Amino acid sequence: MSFPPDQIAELQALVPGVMACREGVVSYFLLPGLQLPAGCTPSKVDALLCPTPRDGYESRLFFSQLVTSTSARNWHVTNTRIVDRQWCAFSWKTNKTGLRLAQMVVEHLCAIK
Amino acid sequence: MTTKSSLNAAPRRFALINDRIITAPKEVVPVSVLRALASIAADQVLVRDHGSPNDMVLDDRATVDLNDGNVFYTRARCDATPPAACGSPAKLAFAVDDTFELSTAAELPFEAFMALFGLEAGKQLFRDFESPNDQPVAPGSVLRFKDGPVFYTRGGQHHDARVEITIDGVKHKVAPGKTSGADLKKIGNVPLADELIQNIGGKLTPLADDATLCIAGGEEFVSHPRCGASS
Repeated sequence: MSFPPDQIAELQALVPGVMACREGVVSYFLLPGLQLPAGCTPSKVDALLCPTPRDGYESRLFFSQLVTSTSARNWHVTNTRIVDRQWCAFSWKTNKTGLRLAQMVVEHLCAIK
Repeated sequence: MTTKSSLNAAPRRFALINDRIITAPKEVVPVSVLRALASIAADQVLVRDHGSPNDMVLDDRATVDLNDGNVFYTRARCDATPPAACGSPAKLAFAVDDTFELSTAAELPFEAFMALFGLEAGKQLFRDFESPNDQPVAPGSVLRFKDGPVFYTRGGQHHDARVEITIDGVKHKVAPGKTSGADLKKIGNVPLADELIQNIGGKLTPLADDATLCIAGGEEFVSHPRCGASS
């Protein structure tokens, strides 16, 4: 699946090193050194955005390690392998379709602010 | 071609009283408010200037619509004659950069307006909506008094003082300086219920509607609908 260049540019403004990748027919965006909201430990992690529906979620944001935050989240995925890396994820539904790529990332990050 | 309002904001208006610019809170104003704003003594009456012997003496309890004429002077109450029918059009005052010029024409072509104020052709003229998104008046436009009589200028030939910001991936040109989160939402057509977040070098900083931000240019914002929930 391809995404509009303006959405990718907006994502790059958020995470300068963003890279598109693919596993099978699913597109992902690798977000290296994604800065997390204040109060999170660590403050930066690599993340992987799955912008299409997966596992019953409209989109998913995977993290390279567990993150502690002021808002406790249900980290129900702790060791899944995607594009040759291990990822963690907390359960979070954005409950809205049609979000732009950057909006998806922000919507997930706001869950741990 | 006419000039457009800026995001439906109200244009700035004023009354010219004894050659002093008195900023008016709205276009229809009680005479008592104008009297207070201009510190008019009790023994003086306020008169709307039609350039006629029958200039309209205003009752202290009346209201005036500044769209009907915004030029006034005071006269000793004892010399004031009872209001009489006045067939002459009221004088209209336009202001640019806090200087005023009078006109009896309610509409002026852009070029005539610039000449009236002695402004060089390259200057950009903005109608003052007190908005960060004031738009420059395009050459060839017709400037209508009722659309707002207050203007300001920026720069010289081909100079654009506005700066560029990005909201949800879309670039917008805005006036630099202080602006609020709510104003930024208007500029970016972001629903008021959504959260606006400033991206400062990858760090996401939520921006409240009433927060004030000094726009310098280059700022980036992302909105999101706050619709997420744990499942």
